[in-house]
Amino acid sequence: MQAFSFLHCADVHLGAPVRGLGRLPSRLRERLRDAPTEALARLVATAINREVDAVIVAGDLFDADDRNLRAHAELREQLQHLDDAGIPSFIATGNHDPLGTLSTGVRLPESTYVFGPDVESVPLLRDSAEIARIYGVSYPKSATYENLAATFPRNPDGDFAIGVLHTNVGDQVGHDPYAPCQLSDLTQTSFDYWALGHVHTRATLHSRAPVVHYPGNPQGLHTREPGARGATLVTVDESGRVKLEPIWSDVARWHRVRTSIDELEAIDDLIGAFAELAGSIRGSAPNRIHLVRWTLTGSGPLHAELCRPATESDLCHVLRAAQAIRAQGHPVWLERLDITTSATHDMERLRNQQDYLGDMLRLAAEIRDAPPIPSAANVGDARPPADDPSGIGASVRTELAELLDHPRLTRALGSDPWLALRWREIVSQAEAHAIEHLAPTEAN
Amino acid sequence: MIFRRVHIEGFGIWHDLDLSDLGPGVNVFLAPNEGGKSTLMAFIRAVLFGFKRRGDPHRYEPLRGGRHGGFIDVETSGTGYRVSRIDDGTSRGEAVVTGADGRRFDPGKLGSLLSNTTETLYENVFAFGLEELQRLDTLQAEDVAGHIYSAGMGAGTLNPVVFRQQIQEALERLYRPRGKKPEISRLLSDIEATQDRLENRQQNANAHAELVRRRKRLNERRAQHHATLERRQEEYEDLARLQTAWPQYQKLLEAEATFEAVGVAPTRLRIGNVARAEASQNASTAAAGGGVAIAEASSDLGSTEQVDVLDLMSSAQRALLTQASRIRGLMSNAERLRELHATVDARQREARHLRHALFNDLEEMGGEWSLDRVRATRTDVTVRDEIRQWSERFQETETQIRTTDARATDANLVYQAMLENREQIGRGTLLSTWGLIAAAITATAILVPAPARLTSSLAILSVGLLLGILMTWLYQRGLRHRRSDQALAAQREANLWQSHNDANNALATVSDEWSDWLGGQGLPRELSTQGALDLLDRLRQSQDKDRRAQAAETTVDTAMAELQRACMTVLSVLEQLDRQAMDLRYDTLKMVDPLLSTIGELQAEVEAVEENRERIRQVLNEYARARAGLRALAGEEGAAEFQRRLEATNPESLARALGEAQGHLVSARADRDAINEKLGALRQQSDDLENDVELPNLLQARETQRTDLVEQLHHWAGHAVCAALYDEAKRKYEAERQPEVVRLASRYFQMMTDGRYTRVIAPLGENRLEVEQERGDRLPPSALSRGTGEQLYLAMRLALAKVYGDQAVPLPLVADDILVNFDDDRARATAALLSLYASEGHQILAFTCHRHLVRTFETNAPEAQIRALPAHA
Repeated sequence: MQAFSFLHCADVHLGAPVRGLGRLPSRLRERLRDAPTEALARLVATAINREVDAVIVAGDLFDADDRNLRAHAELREQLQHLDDAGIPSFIATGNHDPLGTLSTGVRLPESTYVFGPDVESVPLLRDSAEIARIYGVSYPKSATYENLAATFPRNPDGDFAIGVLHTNVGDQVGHDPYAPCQLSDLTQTSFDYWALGHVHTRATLHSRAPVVHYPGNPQGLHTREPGARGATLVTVDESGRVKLEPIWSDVARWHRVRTSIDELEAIDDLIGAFAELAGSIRGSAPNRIHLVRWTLTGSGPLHAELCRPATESDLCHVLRAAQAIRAQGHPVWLERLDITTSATHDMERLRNQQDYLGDMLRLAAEIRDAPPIPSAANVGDARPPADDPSGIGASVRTELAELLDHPRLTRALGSDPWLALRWREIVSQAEAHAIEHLAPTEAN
Repeated sequence: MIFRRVHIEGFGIWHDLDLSDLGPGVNVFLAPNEGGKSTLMAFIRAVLFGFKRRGDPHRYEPLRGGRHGGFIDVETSGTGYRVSRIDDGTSRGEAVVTGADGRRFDPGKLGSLLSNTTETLYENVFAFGLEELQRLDTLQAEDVAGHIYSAGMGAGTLNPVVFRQQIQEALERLYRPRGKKPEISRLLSDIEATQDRLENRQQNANAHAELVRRRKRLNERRAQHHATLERRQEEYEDLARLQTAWPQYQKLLEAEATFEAVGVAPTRLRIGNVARAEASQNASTAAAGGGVAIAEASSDLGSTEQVDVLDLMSSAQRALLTQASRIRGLMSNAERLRELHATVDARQREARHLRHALFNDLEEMGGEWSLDRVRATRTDVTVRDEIRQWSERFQETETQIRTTDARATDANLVYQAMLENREQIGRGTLLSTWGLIAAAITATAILVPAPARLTSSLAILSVGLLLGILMTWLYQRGLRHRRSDQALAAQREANLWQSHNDANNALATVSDEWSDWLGGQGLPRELSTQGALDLLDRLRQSQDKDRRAQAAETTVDTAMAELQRACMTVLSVLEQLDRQAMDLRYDTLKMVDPLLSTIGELQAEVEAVEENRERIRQVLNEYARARAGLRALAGEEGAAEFQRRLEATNPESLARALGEAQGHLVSARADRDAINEKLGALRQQSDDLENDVELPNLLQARETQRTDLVEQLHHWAGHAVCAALYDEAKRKYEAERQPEVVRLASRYFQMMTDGRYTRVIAPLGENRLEVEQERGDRLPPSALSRGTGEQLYLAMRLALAKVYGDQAVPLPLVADDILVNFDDDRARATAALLSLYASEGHQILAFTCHRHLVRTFETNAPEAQIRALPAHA
């Protein structure tokens, strides 16, 4: 067989807004708005520079629900660049961009092949000779829960067979169970390479033939997608051996950092700590925007200061301003400051007191690990409480339901509000409120 | 503590009242209204806590005698004490406690017996009537309330109720279901607004798709319009072509008419058979000399036919043209012929005249002078020179003679003069010399024959002059040399005479030679040199005339020859032209005029024919150009069809059709432009839609707002969870940590209401009570009926008294007509409760003015002691 190469990418989510960020300077906001497009453009440029034979996309190129025409136009533009460079592209759609959701006004170039709702194969040609055969299937609709992997032939044709599929292999937690399959569904075939999409974090599930690989998404879209992001340049040599090379394309990189305030005496120490942190982050990848979720933990003299109502926003402002000055187009942006520090209260003692504060804290402990989320069927770590002897779970649920079950809220968030809650943080916050005002003053 | 005996010395209406043998349980006292129940209660209170201040209506100064005051025997833990208080002038009066043995205790004893129970507490809890029962505030006093509400609460910085309120306020700052200002409500509205705008923008995808569809339709329409436009354009161009061709077509027709006029068959020239234009055009330029090239239809590009202009002319014209150069040659000579004609006449006359003069000359010169002799005689300058030389020889010789003679004479005279008067002699010699000269001249003139007379005279004159001058010179010289030369003079005279003789001999020789020379020249021998010269002059004149006559005659001959040649040429031309010969005249000169006129006519004809030929060539050129133009315009259609169509139309209908076609074309173009404009606008619109960043911005904005919302939601949830925790803790508190008082009161209240009310609750952190009905509904005391309210407060007092009794000292309860507002059932239940309560060690003194209540006690509290208060006087 001939040696060849292709770029395997997935989950580009063109036009998808970066999530979880508050107000941003307009320039940064614009760059983040265009980040997925920019990431795809980087990948396309790499594909052209490296003269790959094909670009394979394993679903979720764009978010159909957004009906973002500009994203569709940008998609066409990038595919056109490939077409101009003589590189064909092969697209299997996913749950976010099922068949038929591309704007009818946007026509893709001739060399772009979009797989249909049933598995089909197309030859990958070089000088009119087949060098590989690409099998793929697209989601006919968003809610596709069948095992599509099972519909691929077990013994595909071609010198080198590539399967393209948007799937959740092995019911990975934290990912919607679209077109679920088991790893064995993929490995017990004669395919040479499975180009998967859906899971946003780069992963090679099987490194010997057939290689089963998620390239991750080219641009992290929220704080739960930290670290370098990109696609995979797959090189196949004459003997069919596969080499995977990550191509980092992220424009903005997410970071989650925890810092204890135990040793810190003053706010200036905190500012210094962030400056140091930002410096090392910037040093790790200088030509990117960095979005940092900074969680302050521990307890110490700063806690009281940090607990003051305006401190968080003021501190954020100061830290952002300090970084903005040395940003030079690639800022280290403090995405959020999470203050989870605690006072030096003897929590244990307070919790054991036979008074109503003790009762509150004991109740809080009961619900801390049992989010009272009613519609938690799809949430891995948020099951309804198994038992609720005190009934506090039910009470809290009732209390929260007043707002969280409000259809307006669900509409506004576009998702289940219960799922948006960071439960432990909320419980800690409730405890903090209670302790601050109800604990005996001498204990403070 | 129980009261065993109450003794009043004087207190209000009571004087010397003694109530002894009081039971440890319920003691019911029946007394009518104003029977002194309240006074009795006031007395007990006064003994235990002191008299009221003076002037206070409850001080109860004795109205019927006795000291103000009395005593109460009490029993505590089996020990009896007497507590007495007599008005001692102080306001409150001093209480004295004495034991059974009469021993008086120190003043603090009463306090310890009462466990320092305050008067207020006592009044509120232990001694009450209807009035107190009906007032909640009697339970709110600090020392009472503390027992009811404060147990089980922490010692936080905030009152729990305030805390709960703050939580609530925080929640409401964030969210109120129908509020607009709270942060979450505001954010919801913002997101909804963004969402609306977003949904609005999302319609752009449809709009874009629609635009693309419209563009596609328009493109199809444009293609159709394009075809129409092309057709319109073709139609217009075709008509424009016809219109452009029209003038050429006209020229073609005109040319054909011209050809017809000159006898050329149009069929030879019709462009129906003609194909290409340029070739013809080129060829026609190339063939400018002779003819015009015209390509034939069926032939290919290279093959063209040369149409000679001459072919298009009559044979006569052609013939004329072939003679054109000769005619033109003749014509160019015409002027010369005319001049010759004019010259010949004059020359002929001149020749005749000269001949005549010559003849006369010959006659004058004598018979021996024929024309030939004249012609043969030399008269040139050489001859004249020779004659002059002869003349000079003569003169020299004669001069020699005269000179020698004169000199010899002179030499004699000089010699004589030298002797006499030299000067006279000298002058005489001179004069004689001059005279001699004159004589010589005269002699010469006489002697010399006429022809040489002048010459001789002149020669003599010259010689004379020379001699004169010489003599004069000699004279002068002689004068100078006279004296020296005198000797020589005689010698010379002799020599001179010898010389004179020699000279005479020489003259005879010259004369002979001269005659010989004349004979040699054909001239008469007798002529003098002068005569010879004169004769030569006449001969020369005659020779001249002869020459001139000869010249004139030659000229005339030449002219005649030329005229005759011209005549012959004209005849030849005429013959070539097959014309009648010119009328030849005998007299050549008389032929000149007809000759010239014939030449002139021919010339005119030639010019006319040439002009005609030029015109035909022009027409032919025009014809060729017109054909070429038409062919070019005909294009692929073919010239024949094109011309056929031209024949079938006329300028007016063509202009009309063209106007219409132009109208169609303009409208088709306008349609196309309109479509293009629409397409451009649509493309712009779809580009704008594709490039619209508003939707991505809105998506981003919505995410930002959602982030804000989630943050606020967290704040809210933190507070809401806190509220839930608080409420749950409070429920727990109210369920499990209620003060003993409230729990007891619940029991008593439940008993009194026969289970209709199940609980009394003191909510966490609040100085108020609630009652819970058996269904679980909670009510505030104010919502209870008067009787039920009195039952609640009775329950509370009983509970308080019990708790107080358990903690400090169980003081006897003194109740004044507390059951009057109870219905029978509740009154019975209460009586039973009091009986039970009393059995637990709490003495009760109950006063009433109602006999049925006494009976209620009798029935439901069998162990109660019932007695009537004695009537006071």
